[in-house]
Amino acid sequence: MFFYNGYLPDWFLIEVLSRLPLKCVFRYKCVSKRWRFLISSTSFSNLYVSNAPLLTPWTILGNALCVKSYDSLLVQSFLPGVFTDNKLHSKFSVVKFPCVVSCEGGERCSIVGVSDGLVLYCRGASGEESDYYVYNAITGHCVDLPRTSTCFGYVSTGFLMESEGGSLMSYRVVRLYCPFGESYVLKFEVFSSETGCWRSFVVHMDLAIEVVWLRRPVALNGKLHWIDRRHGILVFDPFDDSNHCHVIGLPADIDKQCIDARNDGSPVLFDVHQGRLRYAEESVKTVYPFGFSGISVWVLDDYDSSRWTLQHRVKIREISFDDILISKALNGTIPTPIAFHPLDANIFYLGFGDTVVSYNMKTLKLDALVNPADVRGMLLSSGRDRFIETPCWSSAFLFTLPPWPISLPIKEETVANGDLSCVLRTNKDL
Amino acid sequence: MVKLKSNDDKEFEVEEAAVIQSEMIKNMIEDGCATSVIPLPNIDSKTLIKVIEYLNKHINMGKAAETGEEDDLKEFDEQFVNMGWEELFDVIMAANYLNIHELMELCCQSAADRLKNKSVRAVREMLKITNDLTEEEEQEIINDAPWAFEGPEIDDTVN
Repeated sequence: MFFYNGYLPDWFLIEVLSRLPLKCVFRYKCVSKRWRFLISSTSFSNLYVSNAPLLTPWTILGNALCVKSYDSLLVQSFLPGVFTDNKLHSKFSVVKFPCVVSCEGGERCSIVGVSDGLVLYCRGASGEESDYYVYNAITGHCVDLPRTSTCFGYVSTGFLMESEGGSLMSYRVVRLYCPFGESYVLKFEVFSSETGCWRSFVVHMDLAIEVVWLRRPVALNGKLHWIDRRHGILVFDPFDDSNHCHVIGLPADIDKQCIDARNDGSPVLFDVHQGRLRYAEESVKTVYPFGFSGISVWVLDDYDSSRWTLQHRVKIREISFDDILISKALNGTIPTPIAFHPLDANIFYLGFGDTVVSYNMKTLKLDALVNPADVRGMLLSSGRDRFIETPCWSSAFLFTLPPWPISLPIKEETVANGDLSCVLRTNKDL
Repeated sequence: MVKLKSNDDKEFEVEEAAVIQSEMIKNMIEDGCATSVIPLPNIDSKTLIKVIEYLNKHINMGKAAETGEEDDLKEFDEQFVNMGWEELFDVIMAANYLNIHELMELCCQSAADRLKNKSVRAVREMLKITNDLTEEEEQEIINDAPWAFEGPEIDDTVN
């Protein structure tokens, strides 16, 4: 009846379109005027976003970029791929980044931050000036930031954005200088997308701060949070011009050894889970046989009063290990927590030697998931360059794609190039 | 038993337990309006047979979970939606009219699965849609989101 007239009711089209992958939805704007109108309406994108949480693709990305050729960089992804065009392996994916630079002469390229489908990557050895790039993993757009003006030694970089009603308003890249030892003076350099410039300033603290350099800052509510070795969590709001920092406490019963100078936060995972800060640790054994003695997880229930609640605590003897993990545990290997499962509050992922494992707080089971050696083998067999031998678990990222694409609020000097949108390098150096 | 009448004047008897999966008929029965034959002026007999087949299979969904018949039901659903576009639309319209939520879900998901990863041309052909966009308008959409138009998964077939 209606079908022969080419008439499909709106409710039907919306019902069907809201079940399709984002790429299809954006492509099908081209079907007809009516489809374009339906898909472009805010009510449709709101519906799509509200249906999306359970379908949002996510993965864990390694931080090291590997040069494939002169046209692209690759990054290892440790869990099922977020991108549909993953033909290499059903379980792993390799994410391709546009190469706007040639990484020659031992220069390193690495991912230093991710936020809502955007990836911040950086080129340059520590101690030198660095170039930063923001890459939109959905749209393929890439923007290069002006070169930083200061040369810090060790730097901890944070990346966060401010969005309103699903669209990106602005973002900040924050570099915190991390000298050895504690200091009452914090040196920052902040890039603001509104001004398009880096700005340096110092913050004087009442307490001596020494951030756990290995663990990157966590973004929540427009603020960045670093773990400090002694006092708790250093909080900084780069959207507030008063350039003020404060400290909120950590749970009283954490194992301080995990964040001391020797372990540097390697047995600790500090991240946002479903809108709240969460802290997980593997308590460390100081006497032979070394290794870890148990797992604890806290959540920051009340941000303003720094009230933490212990969510989970288990001794190592209560944990059941996968066969292939027992020998690692007996050897005294301490797993490095990588990321919380974005949806399932009971699961988080750890790197155990060279294997990715999942830990389930309900069943108390550690399960081996993937062995990165397989990924390396796969890359070698396809004639690509080598990745670093053992992945650096503490600097891997939980990477989720937003349900609806955001665009970078930047006046970009972009050139759309048939296959891959990339940016011609422009000298916007300050 | 409840009697249903299609728009081509054929009558069908359906168990009450099956037919109350339709919110519309359930309300009619509760209001006491289903004493004789319920006329369904929007549904032809061919479509109604399909819908009744679905309703009969899905009686006591809760029981299926207990007795481990879920796989059987899943297989039935897969077979059920194995039909042409026109038939699928007829069932969707009937499910919408009769307000059978589960059947709507099943059929809309099947429609979405068929349209997934298709090229624009294939979608137009499958749904018999005439393109009323100008070339410039089309190009504008492509320029706004070039990423959506490239990738090895895009399928130009109409199957």
